[in-house]
Amino acid sequence: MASILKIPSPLRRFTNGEASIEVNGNSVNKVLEELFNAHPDIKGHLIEENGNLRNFVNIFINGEDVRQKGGLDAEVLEGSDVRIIPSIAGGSGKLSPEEFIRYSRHLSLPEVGIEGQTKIKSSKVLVIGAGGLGSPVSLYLAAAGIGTIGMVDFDIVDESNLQRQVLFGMDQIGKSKLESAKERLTNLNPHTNYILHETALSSENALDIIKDYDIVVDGTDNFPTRYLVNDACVILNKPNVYGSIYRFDGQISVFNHENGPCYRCLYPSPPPPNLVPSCAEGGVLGVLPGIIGTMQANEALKLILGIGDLMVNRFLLFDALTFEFNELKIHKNNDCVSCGDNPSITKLIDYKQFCGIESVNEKVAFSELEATELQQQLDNGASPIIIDVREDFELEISKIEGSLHIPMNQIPNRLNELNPENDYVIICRTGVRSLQICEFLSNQNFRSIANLSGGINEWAKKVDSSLPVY
Amino acid sequence: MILEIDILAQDFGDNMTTIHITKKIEEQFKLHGENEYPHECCGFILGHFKNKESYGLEYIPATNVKEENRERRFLIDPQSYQNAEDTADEKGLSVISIVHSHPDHPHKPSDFDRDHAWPGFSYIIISVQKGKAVSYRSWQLNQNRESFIKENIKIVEEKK
Repeated sequence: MASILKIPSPLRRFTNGEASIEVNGNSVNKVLEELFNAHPDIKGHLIEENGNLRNFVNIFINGEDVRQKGGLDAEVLEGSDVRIIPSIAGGSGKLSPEEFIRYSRHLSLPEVGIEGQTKIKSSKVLVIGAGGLGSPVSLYLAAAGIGTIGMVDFDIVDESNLQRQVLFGMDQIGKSKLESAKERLTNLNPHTNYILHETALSSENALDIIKDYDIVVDGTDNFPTRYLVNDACVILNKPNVYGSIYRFDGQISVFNHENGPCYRCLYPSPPPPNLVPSCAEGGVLGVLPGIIGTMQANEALKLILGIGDLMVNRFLLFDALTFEFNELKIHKNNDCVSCGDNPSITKLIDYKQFCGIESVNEKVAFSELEATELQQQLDNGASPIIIDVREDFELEISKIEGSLHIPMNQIPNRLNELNPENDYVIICRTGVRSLQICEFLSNQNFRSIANLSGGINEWAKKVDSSLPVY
Repeated sequence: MILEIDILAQDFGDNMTTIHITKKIEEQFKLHGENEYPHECCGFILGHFKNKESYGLEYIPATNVKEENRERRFLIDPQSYQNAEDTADEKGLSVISIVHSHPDHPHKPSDFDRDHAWPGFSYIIISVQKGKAVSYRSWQLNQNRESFIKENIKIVEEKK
């Protein structure tokens, strides 16, 4: 049984009005050859001089686009329904009059111009993390006229974010970061399409989220997500504009672009868990993410425009205290497990496990203690040793009398001051840092470790109202 | 009487200069453009070609499947085109026109439109300003694909 090739209406003037012809060829090429033999004038309308299909012509076999099935070599089984279909698309111009005004400073740069601005407009960038880095990245990319900005975050705005996360304001405390971001960014540039991925990026959803974007900007604050973003970008072949910040130090590079290295080429494995504190514990100068994030936005724009020299094969270290920039040359590692010649990571793994962070409910080698329970214990004459792992200045704000003070970073080096046989209660501001220290100490085989739930703030609320909550 | 077409006398000549559409079709695509505002609407007109003219009998709205920038771009699902063509063939008609709207923009074709157009179709563009269809115009791409040429639109009363 032969197949049927259907001719679209505007081309029927070349087929004497026939709506379809019977064909016997077993590939798209052969089917088209039969058509051209029967109706030679139609050829120029479908095929370019170099033999390729014209870009406004689609060929479908039984409802499927042949471009995904080998193009002109795609197989045509007997009895197929083969169709020539015009690509039907259109739209109201590349840039609107308002956009010409808005982007006039870009348009007058020869390196950008109308063509470049149109590229920016048709690009899609995914910003992972709406925090210190994500704020300047998304603000500048929105202002620059990126067509689609996707953002991934699941947090709500906290007052302690406002010291550096300039995307948010007082009105938005307690609200969804992404909804707040969209509100601010839409106000800055309504021409951009904002897509909110209100979820934690995970091995399950990362590929699905990232696949639709051209460029990924990594503004994450933890190692598991950073490795996850890296591996997903390698698998999907997307450039990864990396930035990171800690205290006064910033780093930036462009990974996985034009045969340059990926993050794993540089750092094959993560640091031991809990020894590198996050910014929440270690602190960060508020302006630092502004500096690093705007540099990430700069590289994302250059990637889109295809101009200048990118931070590929280069790694920049910035020290805000000394105001020194140090640039390192970095190279692709051919043995890299992610992007090397024989990668062992061909799908996403469990990144928390990889970074040595096990989920809390898998391992209860220590207990959680409510503030009121601790008070009862103390009233009953029990004498656990209370270790306060906050920083010096925090002790000036509030402290529990009789507690031992060891800032969390010093715990690993001062283990000899502690006895694994004693009872310890670990406290910090809200119970997050102390939780990590509890995990660390229980891994060191400490026998009796408890975490003060909610930290000293909870203690101040429930037990000692003379202490401030901060 | 004007719509009684002898289908066997179809002429697919290059110089079609007039598209005849019914009042109903005009109302349908204007309303479609207004309802989809601020996004672009798109649809097909089925009818006949005769000599240098074409005659529209039926409007089929299509779904704009473009996920982003729907204010400024449309993309018709290839399947809706196939369906429209099948419907046309069943009725002995042809797809004669592709209609789309330009929200808050004039009814002039853009470069983007030209890059994606085919000679032989009438491209009707509706300008929808602030939710109101204010004007429309039909265009045909010339054979060398270099420019759009305006064509006449004649509104005809539908034959009962």
